[in-house]
Formats: sequence, C-alpha cells, structure tokens
Amino acid sequence: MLKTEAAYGVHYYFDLDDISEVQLTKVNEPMSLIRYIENKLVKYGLKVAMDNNMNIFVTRENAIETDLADDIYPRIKNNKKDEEDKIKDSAEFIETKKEHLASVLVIGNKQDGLRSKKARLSGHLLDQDSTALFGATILIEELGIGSAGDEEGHFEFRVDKGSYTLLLNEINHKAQKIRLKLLSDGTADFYLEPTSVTLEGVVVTTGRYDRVQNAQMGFEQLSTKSIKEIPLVLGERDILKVATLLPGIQSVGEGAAGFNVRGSPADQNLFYIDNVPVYNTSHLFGFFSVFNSDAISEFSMSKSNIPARFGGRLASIFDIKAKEGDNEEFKLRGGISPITGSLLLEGPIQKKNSSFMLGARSTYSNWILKLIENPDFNRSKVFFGDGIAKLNFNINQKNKIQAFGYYSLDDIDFAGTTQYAIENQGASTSWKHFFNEKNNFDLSLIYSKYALETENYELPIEAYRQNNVLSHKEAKLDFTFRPSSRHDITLGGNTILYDIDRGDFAPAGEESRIILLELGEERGLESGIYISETWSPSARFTLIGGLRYNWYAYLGPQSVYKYNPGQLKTESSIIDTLYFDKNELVKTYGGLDYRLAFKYNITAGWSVKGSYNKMQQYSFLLSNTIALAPTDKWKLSDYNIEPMVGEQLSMGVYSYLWNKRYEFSMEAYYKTVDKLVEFRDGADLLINEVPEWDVLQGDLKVYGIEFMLKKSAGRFNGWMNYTYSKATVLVDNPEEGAQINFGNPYPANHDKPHSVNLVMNYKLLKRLSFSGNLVYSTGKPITYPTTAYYQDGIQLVNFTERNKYRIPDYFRMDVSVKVEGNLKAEKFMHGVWVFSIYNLTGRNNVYNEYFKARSGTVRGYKVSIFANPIFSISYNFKFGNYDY
Amino acid sequence: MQIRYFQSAITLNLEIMITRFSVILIVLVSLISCVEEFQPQLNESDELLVVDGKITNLEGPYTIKLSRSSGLDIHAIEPVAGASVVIIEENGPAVSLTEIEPGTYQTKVDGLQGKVGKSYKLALNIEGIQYETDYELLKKPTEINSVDARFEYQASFNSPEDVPGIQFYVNTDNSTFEEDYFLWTLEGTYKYNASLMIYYVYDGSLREFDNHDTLNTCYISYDIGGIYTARTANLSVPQVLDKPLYFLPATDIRLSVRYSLFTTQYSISEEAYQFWRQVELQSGGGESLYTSQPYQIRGNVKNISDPDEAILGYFTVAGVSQNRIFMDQPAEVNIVLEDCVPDPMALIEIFDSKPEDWPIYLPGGEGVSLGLVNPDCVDCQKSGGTIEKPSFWVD
Repeated sequence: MLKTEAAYGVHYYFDLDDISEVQLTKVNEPMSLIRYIENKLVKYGLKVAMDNNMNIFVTRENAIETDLADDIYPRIKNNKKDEEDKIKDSAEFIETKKEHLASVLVIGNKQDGLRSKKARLSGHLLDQDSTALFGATILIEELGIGSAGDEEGHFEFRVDKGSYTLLLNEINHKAQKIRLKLLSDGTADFYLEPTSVTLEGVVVTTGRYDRVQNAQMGFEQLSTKSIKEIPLVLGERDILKVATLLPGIQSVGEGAAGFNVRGSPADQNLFYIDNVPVYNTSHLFGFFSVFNSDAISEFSMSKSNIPARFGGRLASIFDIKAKEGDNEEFKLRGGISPITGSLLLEGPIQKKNSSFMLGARSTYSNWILKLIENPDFNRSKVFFGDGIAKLNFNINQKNKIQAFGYYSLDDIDFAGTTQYAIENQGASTSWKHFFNEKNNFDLSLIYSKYALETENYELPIEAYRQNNVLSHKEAKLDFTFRPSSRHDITLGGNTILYDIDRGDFAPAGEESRIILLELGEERGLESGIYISETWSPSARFTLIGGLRYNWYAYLGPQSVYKYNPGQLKTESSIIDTLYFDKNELVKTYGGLDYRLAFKYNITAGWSVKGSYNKMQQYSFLLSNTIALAPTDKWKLSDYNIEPMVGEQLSMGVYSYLWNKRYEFSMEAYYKTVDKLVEFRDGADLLINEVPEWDVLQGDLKVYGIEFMLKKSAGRFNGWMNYTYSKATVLVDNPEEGAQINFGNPYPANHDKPHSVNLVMNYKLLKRLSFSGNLVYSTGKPITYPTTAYYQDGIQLVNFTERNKYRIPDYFRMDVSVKVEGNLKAEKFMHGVWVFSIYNLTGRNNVYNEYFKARSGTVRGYKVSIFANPIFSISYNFKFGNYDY
Repeated sequence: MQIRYFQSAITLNLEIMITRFSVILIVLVSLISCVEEFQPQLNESDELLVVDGKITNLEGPYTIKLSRSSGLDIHAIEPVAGASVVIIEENGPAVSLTEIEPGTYQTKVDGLQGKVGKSYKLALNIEGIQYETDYELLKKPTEINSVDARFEYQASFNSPEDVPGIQFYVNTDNSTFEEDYFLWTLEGTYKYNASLMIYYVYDGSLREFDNHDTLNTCYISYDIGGIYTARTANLSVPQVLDKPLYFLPATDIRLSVRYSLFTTQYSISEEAYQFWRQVELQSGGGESLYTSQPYQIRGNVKNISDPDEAILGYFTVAGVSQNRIFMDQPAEVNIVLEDCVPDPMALIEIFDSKPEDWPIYLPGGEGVSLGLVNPDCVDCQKSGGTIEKPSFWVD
C-alpha cells in the first residue's frame, strides 16, 4: 500500500486499527487505483475516498467527503498578510448581502475572456458589517479547489472558464452555495451571514491564524471578542494580561509590569498599537495595562520568526490593532468595573467611506480612598486614564488613509509626599495605496512620546523633582508585491529618530537643599531596510527568507568618556573625554538581520516548521529591580554601551486533531542574546549620570519547548499549554570587577522552568456562560543569604550565589460567570454582567522573599500580594441589540 | 566621585514610598497582602572571615573582633583566635592588640588614642595569611545639633492602619567638609513600672512588705539594631536636617513612662559610607514590590596574596559625636499594659510553692484585692530590667 503511495503520488489517510487486518493482493489487470482499493476494502467494511490532491482517505464508518477534505486542507493561494483593499468593479460587483443567491453570478464577459482559457476570480470574504473573514474558505465544488480569505478577507484563484458551484464556509457563518459563471477575470465580494445566536458557541479565538497552514511560527493572535469570557482581576478586562496565559509569555509576578517572552527581559518586547510604539504599557505600576480592551480589536504577537519589517527588539513584537469604527451606523458602548469606567463611540463620518472610533477610560475610584479613615489615604490620589481615537477614510478604490491617536496618563499622589505623572502620547497616520489588486504600499508617519515625572517630598531637605522624556519619530514605507500566487514579496524601510531628555534632578519645595543636576539629552537614529519573500513552491511547502539591514547612529551633541581598555569603566579608568557637535556621529553600529523560515505539510493535518532569526536592539531599560519599577527609564545604546544582538532557532510540529476541532502545536527553541545589559551589584539607577559605570554586558541563553492544545469553537472551548524553559545569564567580562555572580552563570530573574496554563469556557445557555483559568508555574529564582554575621552589634546577612534558590511554586485558579441581558430584538440597550473571582482558592502565592537576621537566627519573610480570593463585578453595556 | 554615589541617599525614600504605595493599593482594592515568616532551608554554607571594629577619636580601648561565619545560625560564628592584629597610624606607630578573649582583640587602656586628622589602617595575620585595609582618615567629627522626637502615625505593612509612635530625627551642625558622610548607631533606655505595688511577701511564711515600691521601677538599655546613613554630597549646604532615625511604636511598655535615646554619630569616609549604605539598603527589608537583587557586600579588608577572598565587615575609622535625649510618655497615646488582676482563688497555691520560687510578692493597696498575680506585675525585674538607675539618667 505504501508502495502505491510513492508510485502513484497519492497519500493515504487511515486509522491503523481500521486496516490492521486488511491484506492487499497484487494487481494483475489495469484498473484505477481508487477503484482497486475500494474493491479490496469494501469487504472489510471500509470506505474509501480520494480528493483532488491525490489524498486517499480510508475510514470505517463514513466515506470522507473529499470536498470537505479540501476544506480541511484549503489551497491557500496566499496566506501571507495581504493588504489588498476591496476594489469594487462596478460592472462585476455583486452584493450577496441580501439573500442566498438563487440566480447565477456572472463574472466578466466573453469578449475579455476570449484570449485565455483560464480566468481569475478574486474578491473578499466579509462579514455583513464588512469585516474581513480571515480563514473563511471558498471552494469550487466541481474542481475541489479553492482559496481562503486572508487578513483582509481577500481570496483569489485561477481556473478554467466555465460554470461552477461555489461553496462558502466560515466557522461562525452560514455556509452558502453560489452558482458561478466565470467568463473572464473579475472580482466579487461575498458577505456571509452570521450563524444565529442560538448556535453560537463561546468563541475563544477568531481562528484567523491557521496554526497548521500558516508558515508563521511562534505566533499568537487574540481578539478582544475572544477574551470576553476570561475571568478578570478587579473587573478589568485586559487583553495583555490574557497574553500571559499563552505559552512562552510570563510576568515576573502579580501586579508586575511587563512580560518576559521566551526568557528575555521585559525591555526586549515592542508594543505597537496601530504603528505607534508604546514605551510603558502599564497603568498603576503594572496592575492594569494601558490598553482599553474595548477599543482594541485584536493583537498578534510574534516570538519566533519576527517579520523582517519589524526590527529593534529581540524577544517579541506585539502588534495591537485598534478597533476600526463602524462605517454604517453609530454605536455607543461602555462599561463599569470597580476601578474604572469606559465609553466607546464609533460611527460613520461619511457612510461607507469613512469612520471614526473614540474611546476613553478612567478611574473613578478616589472615592474609595476618601472612605478610608486614615489621613494618608484621604490625602492621596490615584488616577489613571487613557483615550484613543481612530479615523479611517477610503478616499477611493486605490487609496485609504488612517489616522490614529493615543494618550494615557497615570497621576498618582501619595499623601502629598510623592507624586508620579506617567504619560504616553502617540499618533500615526498611514496612507495605503493600491497599484492594483496585488501590489500596494503603505506609508506611515509615527510619533510617540513617553514622559515620566516624579516628585518626592519625603525628606524636606532632600525633596526632589525628576523628569525624563523619550520621543520617537518614525517614518516607514512598506511595499507588498505579489508577482504570482506563489510569491509574495514585501520590502521597505523605516527610520526612527529617538530623542531622550534624560531630565533634571532638581530641588522641589522651598526647604530642599538638593543641588540641581542636569543629566542631559541624547539622540539616536535607527534606520532599517528590508526585503522579505514568501515563496510557496507547492501548497505543502512554504519558504520565507528575509534580510534586514539596520544602521544605528548615536548622535551629538554629546560628550563621552573613553576608558582604558582592559579596565572596568569607572571614573578612575577614564582616559579621555570626547566632544561631539550637534548631529555629529558619535558612534555607529550596523548589522544585518536574517529571517529564515519554512513550513512543510507532512499530511493535510500535520505540518512542521522551522525558523532562524537574527536581530539587533539599540535601546534598553535602565532597570535593575526584579519587576519593572515605575521609575525605570529608557536608554539608547551609545559610545560605551553596545547594542544587544539576538539569535533564535525554532522548530515546531503543528496539527489538527479530532476532525479539526482541536489544534495542537509543539515548538522548541534555542535563543541567545549577546551584549545583554545587566547592572553592577547595588547599582542605583535613580540618578544614573554616567550609565556605563553601572552597566555590565553579558550573555543570555534560553531554550525551551512549548506545547499547546486549543479548541477554538463550540460551547466548550479553551486552551491548555505547558512550557518548559530555561533562561541563564552569564556576565563574565575579562576586566576586574566586571562580573556578576563571581563570573558564574545564573538563572535569569524571570526563569520559571515549568509553566502550565489552562483556559476553559463553557456556554451553558444563550445568556449564561462560565469560564475558568488554572495557572501554575515554578517559583521564580531568588538569592538566599548563606551567612549571618555581626557588625557593630548588628546582625547582618551575606548573600552569595545569585538566584540559586526558588520561591514556592505559583498556582492560581480563577472563575467567572457572564450573564447577558435579554436577547430581544430592537431593544434600546444590551447589558452584560460579569462576576469573577480571582484566585479562588485564596492561595498565598509568594511574590518575593526577603531575609533579616534577628535574635540569633536568619528569618525569611514571604510577601504575597493577592493572598485572598478577589471578587469583582463589572457591567458592560451597548446601545442597540446584542451583537458581541 | 561626588556625583556617583549621592543617588543612594534618595533611594530609601523611594522604597519607603513604594511600600506605602503598595499599602494604599492594597487597601484600595480591599485586599490583604501579607508577609509570612519562615525558616529558610539551605544546603550549603561557606566559611568567611568577618572583621568588626572601629577606631575613633573617643578614648580607647578600641576593640577588633575576628570571627569565621558559616551558615545562617549566628550562634555558630566561631571566633578567630591567635591572630596578630595591628592598628597602624600613618607615619606613626603600629600598635598590636591583645586578645582579651578568643577572637576579641583590644588596645591597652592607656595605649593607642585615635586622633583627628590622622589616618589609620588595620593589618592582620591569621595563620600566616596577611590581611590589611587601606589607610582611612579619622575625620573631624561634625557635632549633632539636635535629636528631635516627634509623635507621628506611620504606615505599617503588618497592619492596615497607621501605627502611632515616636519618630526620632537627627540634625547635624554644618560640616567643615564639603561632602560629609554619616553613620548613626542608637541605644535606647527606658524606665518602666510594674503594674502593682508590693504589700506582702511569702518566703515560707506570709509577711507584710513595707517598701511597696522597691521593685516597682526598672530601667532597660538596648541596642537599636538599625543602620542609618546619610551624606551631604548632593546638598547645597553640608548639613543633614531632619534625617529620620528610629521609629518607636507607642504600643508597648517602652514608652509607658520615660524614654532616652543615645545617638552616636560617626563621621566616616566615602568608602565606609558606601559599605554601610549598602548594608542599610540590603537589610532594609523586601516588602517593596521593586526590590533589586541582593549581593555580597565586601568590606575594606583584603587578603594581600588573594584579593578574591571574600571578607565581610568593615574596619571603620570615624570621628564621633554623641547626644542623649529624654522624653516622657506621649500625651497622645494611652499605652495599655498587661492587665494585672490579682486572683484570690489562686492564693492558696503559694503554700504549695517550692523554696526556689520564693520570695513570692503579693500586691495590695487601695482598690487592689489580695491575690496571686504574675510575678512581673509586681516585680519589674521580671521583665528584664534592673532597678539600678543608670548613671546618665535624668528624670
């Protein structure tokens, strides 16, 4: 049987149990292979089917419908992120929005079709509100071939002219059958009708990223819609907190800002929201993320083969897309949680052509502080808020313009003694131009600013004020070409001008005797050009190759120290001071990034992928606390601090299981970071006048394996993952004193080898659903004291090896119940209540341990943050009918 | 080097703030974050030499303690006996110290006298291995201008409510150095009373007791094991003002009658300041959400032939000034001490008592019934104090 597989180029699919007793005899007469097998197997009660891909399916019960098999294994002409617009050819445009098409859809005309035998049909698969249906399939029943909607819902195929039956399928939409008469090249957009509410399950993911078929690996995608069931801490739906339930993404601890992706420090992630980089992603020092989930449509993150159009970060790119306003009707929605209230308004500017979206969120919880009978709390103020705006204009069929703005602020005042103002601002505009259906460019101008200001009046004579501002100005241009359906080329470049005002350390208040210290400014220019090609020589095999050249310059005006080589960089090893004029090149670094990836389908439901990446990073966070602190500031690579270089090799196996209801993946990776920025023992980064005196550069090595099983649809859905990983840092430079941990390797602060996440949703009734999370991980490493001693009668402890011990393992279980308002049509408002309990078991998960020598012995102390179950209620409403 | 280290002075404030902020957040969301004590388990230990001692401008003798430390049990510290310990004055004499008990070395009573303006170093020879420090200057001491005691409520990680108590602050005079570095050590002494007066005593037979207040008033002195440092390098005037020292919660017996704080202020070198500052930060606790990695803090003693040997502790050279203040129980608080209600029913037990428990004192007086009480209700010495009034005590 396997011989025929090779000889006839067919593939068999069968259950070994089914055919274990089957004996095939030699064939003596010519007959079709399929007929032969069928004849032989029918007596065993087995059924046979063959599809157009020469795949032969052997089953015991029902013969497989090979049309559906194609559905499982769609011929995705182009699964790359295509940026095509809905170009509507008026003559050929047919709206199928109203009803099933009983009549024949005629595309093109005979005259145009005269010259060629084949004709191409392209268009979009869309929801009724015009949102693209990624992964929706369009099949030609007669030929058993078809295509699938890409990110823009775009599909395309080229077949012989003729009459066909089209089958349209999407998991949350009604299947449609349409009769097609294809006369010449043409386009058509299809609008699918959503399945009725009664049938809808709780959808965890949009399923738009096809884990098996897509060549992208180490890629995760979550939509806001999909996380609405997941239990909330303090009632805040937070799409980035949900990200920590995905494999390879961890946070240092509860309430800690930042993520550690595949063992990298938090500053190796880049967060883009509609092209705007966000340098601080936390409200309230990490308890909430700065993104109002209502205003986010989805995010995707790459942690393996980061596309060549992105540069500048080694661990991951989070690409967050803000919601596009509805261009048909006005909508208003909002929500109230114990901490915040939010509102979102969207609607058309000019119907069908342009839309806006405005969202705002703010705390209203100062009243809680006022309730507490404590003068310190009464005098305190905790405010955070954010606003987001997005405008979309479809100028014409070939030009599309988008404008986006973002603002977030934290304003925190503790009893008049310490104040914080942390601000993100960002804006971007982009112009997307379509040369034709296949080729386009996208030009974006981006501005982002991160400003931090602290005032401290704790000690009147040392009261100080400190500020720090980072500004990011970027222009980027991306071209997408699709010379044939097998090739997809993106190329382009970007350039970023960074200006960091390192700020002043200045006296605050009349009594302060602090001497003003100006830390100065710095400027850097990061530019990159890239080209990347996705080539699919066959439907089974896809190759991605990319090259990106980065050029980074640290610019004047600046004065820099030169140190005696072979000596630790300190004040005493300075041998010269160099002065540079404005925009003079202080130091330049150039580097070539590589992106290589492949995907190969072993069978329709199984694929293997591999990738290799090399990247450079030119900025880092001045942070030596275990969790990111609110005062951490960004710093550019400079004359003395070299850029970090990262490399990653990953391999993975991907599969559909149980009739495509489950997705399984396993990825293993090995990653290194050179010139990792670490800090000298006891470095105090609050005022870091000469950064290189505190910085030591070393190596990070991470390896790991991630298993993920996911069920995306149905009443019961969710995912489960297990990760094993190991992140080790080595700082062992030749200069005396330039080591950490005596030059021995040590586990990274966020190294948590075992990690298990389980997310489950169950929709019991139309209006009632339950969700639960289970989170387990190894405790993070910690440095224990090894010696106690006396000094002047005071008991002290001595620490030796860094991160040799671990805090207790982390375990948490959360549950939530969601109750929808009534589902009557034509109502004024629809409401949703979410009741959730975070840390149901009330386990005292340890956040940190510290030690004190007391009465003759060293005592340890465990600090827990959320040591009790936390109950919260939130209410979300929307004017109009239920639709989400 | 001025600027590099002045950062440190501010960090503590930041940490205090963050701790407080955590408290606020915790209250905000009605959570209880908790701190739990535990016994760390180790599977290793390393033996390290520990040096502990000072030379100051105060009158000698000066003491240097040498020990070897292993593990977390402070009682397991072994003295290093039989070493040769020498304090050397730059361009002056080298003075050998005498071992007065194992591991404790002392100068002679009329021997070496630390002088302002001179530099000193410590040299050790332990089993043939040579150790020494660099010379450090004995600085002219900056005087303590005042130590203030103020009644305040302070946030506490252990209690959701602020705790009342006395916060002590130190103010220095203007330093004669442009940049001065300080270390303070504190000793507290308190006077307290037993709850009840003695009217009867049983020592085989029950008798009346005349001097009712004999064992009523006691004094206890104790080291306040905190480390307090400051520097003036970042300040426009070389003077420390309102530097918070010790916070004494007004919830126990220590503030019930009268309290005295003895402050010793050391003017130290920048290097010594760095050592003490790091030790201060590292022993300050980790309640904060933003702790940094702890690490090994080495002192100024070096093995001459093996500079990589880790040696703990610092030989401190300092100019010293001292200050003592007294204060009575703050009017703002009413300290509730142990409830001492005599138990008449238990009185019968004294006749079964053994001689080693004698004498048993019994309270009396107006409104107090005859009965058995806990010994510390009538005898203040049972709480650890002495009835002898310290020589410095002023009522």
